[in-house]
Amino acid sequence: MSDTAQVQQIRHKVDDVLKTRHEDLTKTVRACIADVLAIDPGKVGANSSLIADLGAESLDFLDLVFRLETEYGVKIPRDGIRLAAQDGLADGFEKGGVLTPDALERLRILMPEIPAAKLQAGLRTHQIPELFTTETFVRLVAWRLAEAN
Amino acid sequence: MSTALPLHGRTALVTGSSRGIGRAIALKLGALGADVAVNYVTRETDANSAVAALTSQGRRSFAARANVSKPDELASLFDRVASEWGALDIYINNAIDVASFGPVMRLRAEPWRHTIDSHVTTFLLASQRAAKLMKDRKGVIIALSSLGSQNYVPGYAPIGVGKAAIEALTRYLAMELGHSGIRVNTVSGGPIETDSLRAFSTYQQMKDASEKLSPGRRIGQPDDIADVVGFLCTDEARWIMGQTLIVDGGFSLVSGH
Repeated sequence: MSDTAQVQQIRHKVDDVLKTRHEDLTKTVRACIADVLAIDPGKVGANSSLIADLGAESLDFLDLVFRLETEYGVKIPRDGIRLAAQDGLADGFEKGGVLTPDALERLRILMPEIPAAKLQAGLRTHQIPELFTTETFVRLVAWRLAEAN
Repeated sequence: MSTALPLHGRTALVTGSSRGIGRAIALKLGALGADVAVNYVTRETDANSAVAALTSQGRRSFAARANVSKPDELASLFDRVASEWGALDIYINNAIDVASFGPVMRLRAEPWRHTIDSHVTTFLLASQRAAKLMKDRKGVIIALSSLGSQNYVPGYAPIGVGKAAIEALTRYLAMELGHSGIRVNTVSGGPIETDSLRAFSTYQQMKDASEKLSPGRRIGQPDDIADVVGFLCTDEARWIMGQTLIVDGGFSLVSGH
């Protein structure tokens, strides 16, 4: 199986889980984000950027992931998105800190919630967390729930 | 031929061995002749490829999923080893689960507790289980630590404290298990090029410092640690007990600069 097929498979699994659970997962993820960032849950929109809109720092992601693991009883790899995206990439995930074209293509598959314009050539690995929205974490939880079944 | 290998006929369990340092250790122990159980949590494909590499060397191996920071899953992992092999000669305490990172004033109680537990409580419970499976054998227990247990690394307090506790527990285990023929040691590494290290914001800084300042003149690789762990598992290391060996290409000599 080609590795892009593996990434597609992850995408399909996530979409399948979200067909029935999108609403309840979103509700819980929003509550967890609000708790970790100590803000009003009403301020956490589905497409809010955690860093740009909600003032999160990268350290907050670790707290949030731990909170979601506890809530759902699943294990979420700390660098899960990169791990899912990088398997078997011939030219690697990044070169000199800049994502390779193949890596970008995989992120577009794995992160449909991110506008394509933001996943363009020149994106650096340290900029990936700046893209994360509420929906990113909803999809991350859905992925782990799908894998756990 | 294989009877000449130093770990021929011995069985080993390496936690967190689907990738990184754990995988390098698993493969090293296999190269030295041991049968190796590969433990993973999420990376099943990687774990299976480690098993395939071991079986292609003629070793017995299997992959076992368990989040070892959960006591019930840890117990199931040792149950599996017991049912597969009936005994254990080598236990490598490698996996940790980091849920807490950052300046001390920002750390929250629950992720902190989880991180400390995943270091030292896991090591304690695993060593208890391992020691029972090592009865009447020359058992070896080795834990992994890092320089953050002794030195300041920004944001690293939960992990550094967890590692320091592992090093202290190593000495107590060595004393209390030594009379049963079990040797317990810890290997403490400097920066090692793995996915985990790349996730640190200070990765590039550590890599540059390793290349420019340390006598080793490069960042460490998983095999640099695995080779030492492999040696500590052999009978040639029989007189090393309760120690924390620093294996860092000399990084700790200059990391304060």
